[in-house]
Amino acid sequence: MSGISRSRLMEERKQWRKDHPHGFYARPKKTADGGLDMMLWECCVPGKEGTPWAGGFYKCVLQFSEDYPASPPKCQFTPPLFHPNVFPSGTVCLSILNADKDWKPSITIKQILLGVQSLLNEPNNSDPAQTEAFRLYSKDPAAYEKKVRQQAQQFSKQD
Amino acid sequence: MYEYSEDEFMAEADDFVYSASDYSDFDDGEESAEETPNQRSQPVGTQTQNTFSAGAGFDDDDYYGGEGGDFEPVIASHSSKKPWEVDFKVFDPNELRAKQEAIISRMEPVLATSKDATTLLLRAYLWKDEPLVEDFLTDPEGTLTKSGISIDQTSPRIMSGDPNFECEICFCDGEAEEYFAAPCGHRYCTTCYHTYLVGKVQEGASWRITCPTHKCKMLVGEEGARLLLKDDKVNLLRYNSNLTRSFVNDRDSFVWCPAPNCVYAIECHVARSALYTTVPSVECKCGNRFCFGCQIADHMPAPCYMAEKWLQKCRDDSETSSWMKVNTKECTKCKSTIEKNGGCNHMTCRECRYEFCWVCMGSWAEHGQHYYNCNRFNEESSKEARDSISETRAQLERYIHYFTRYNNHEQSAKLARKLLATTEKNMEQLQRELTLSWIEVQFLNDAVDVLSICRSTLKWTYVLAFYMKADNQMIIFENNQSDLESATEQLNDLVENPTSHGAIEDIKRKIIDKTTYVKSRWETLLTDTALGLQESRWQFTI
Repeated sequence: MSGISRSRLMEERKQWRKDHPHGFYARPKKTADGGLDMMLWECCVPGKEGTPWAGGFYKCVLQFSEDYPASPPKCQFTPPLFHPNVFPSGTVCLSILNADKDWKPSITIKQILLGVQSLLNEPNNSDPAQTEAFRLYSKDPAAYEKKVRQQAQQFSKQD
Repeated sequence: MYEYSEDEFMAEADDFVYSASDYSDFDDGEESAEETPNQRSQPVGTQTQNTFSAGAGFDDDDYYGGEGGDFEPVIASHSSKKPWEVDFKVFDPNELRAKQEAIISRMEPVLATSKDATTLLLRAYLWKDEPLVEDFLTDPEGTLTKSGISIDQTSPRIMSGDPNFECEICFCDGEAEEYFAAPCGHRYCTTCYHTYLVGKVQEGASWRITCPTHKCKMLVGEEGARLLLKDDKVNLLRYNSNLTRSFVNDRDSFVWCPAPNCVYAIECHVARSALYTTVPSVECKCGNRFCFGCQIADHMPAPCYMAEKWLQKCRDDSETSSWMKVNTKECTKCKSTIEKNGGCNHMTCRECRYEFCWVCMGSWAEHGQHYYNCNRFNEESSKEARDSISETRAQLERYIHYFTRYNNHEQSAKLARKLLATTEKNMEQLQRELTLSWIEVQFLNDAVDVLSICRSTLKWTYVLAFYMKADNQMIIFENNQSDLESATEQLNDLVENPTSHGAIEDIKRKIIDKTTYVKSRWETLLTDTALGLQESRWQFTI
């Protein structure tokens, strides 16, 4: 599917502008010369209402490869997030973002970001990516939740 | 080494009508590899079954003395399966495809669905037909849906002409676009579908390829895949070979021959639980002998778990332990291993804080001020301290004892391969000088075959012995082992220097006699170990 990455991303952008879920944003990064880098998107995932994550706006970037949509983009929280399935680098470990697991070429940016949003409050215990959050999550759920709420507070400003 | 020819596979029926007269007498040296298709093939059901046997001319003895006529040879053929042998069959890629086809055509009328659905169901159930039939007959729709197969079976088609069509991958649209959909109905343009398929095929996927839609588990299906790949010969070929690959990989009773570039697969029915008492050694048509259970090189008579443990131990211990033996000592109190990297002889163990003398290993308290010069070597307490160390060292010594012998046979086996090359030269020379026929010099080849298999077996007997608890049964085992070992060494000597042992006729007779003897010792040992393992005759500390 090489060669179609850019045109597909243009289309994704069109679709996103037409309709996107509330509280989210996703846009190609502006380059220094005022243009747009279609292969790098700046996004924001809000914490779901009714969960300890609510109130927080978690920023991440989607890095697409030339191979997209044959292979998935990389999703990285900036800054890295306290979450069992987020690597210390901020990279998200999620089955739909893994070419060997559930990635399908028809998955849209909207579906990715919604997937990331549900992952926030539904961590996957079998794929831990960082020790700190994973330990706390499995050993002391109360302390984990407290920490999550603190983090939501910390990221409560949407720019 | 014996090789199976295609014909023998086809003509399994012939195998049990051989009579003694088909075989020349072993001793006159006319026994050649080609002439001993002995009876490893037994017709069981409709399949040809082979049992492993080592080298040419190995299990003739049981074959002679049949009454002739009747079913005597059949019985003889059955009993010729030795206690250590297992039934197996080698498949080439075409035979594998034929086997799949055969299973599919057998199941199609049972399930009464289309061929594509039957195939996918069988694959999804990893070819386990019993659970498949059970599930399918109780709940056909559920079984199909669960496996990602559509209930209505329409032949997949490439379509076009829908003005409302839009491909959700590349967003091309319009009625000019050709599109394809798996039975789930999710449509994508053929270009995107093809690219998606090729990506998956190149990753090694085949029937497990699902529709490109998020969360859709519908299988694309073989007919659909072939339709999309029909103009892409390279990937179509690859798709087909992935299918065959998965047929073997998905089944417990099949493995690929692990030899590099080998295309054959082996079928063998050995339960995982049986691997503790049987060693399913098989031989591929390419000549590679390996264990069906763990796919490492043949490790008879040691069972898989033991072989694995031993190899692990060798990787962990051999280098390290010899270094430790030279460079370290153990604390007499807590047995921590200590390397002395400088300083005086007054040692303080980091683990237990015990203070001792590095020279005599006795307690430092008794040493007074003689920091640099221990003259207390023979004192009683130092002696005790050294004794306690020697116990742990003794275990290491024991391991090294067995390892050395194991390793010796491994090295000799490598030399045996070189020997084969010299043997071939020797045979040519004999043919030229003594105007012997090709068949008359084959005895050398047979001898080398026997040698190399005995080396391999001997090697692993030391592993068995290492883990074996010493008792009377072990003594019997070790007697068998030493008989085989000394006979093997004698044969090795004869084969290596054939011309230094007298006249050619003499040597030939000697070598043939010795080969027969070694072979019978080998059989005795393997029979004994195979039965012993089944009867739990030995206790292992593992």
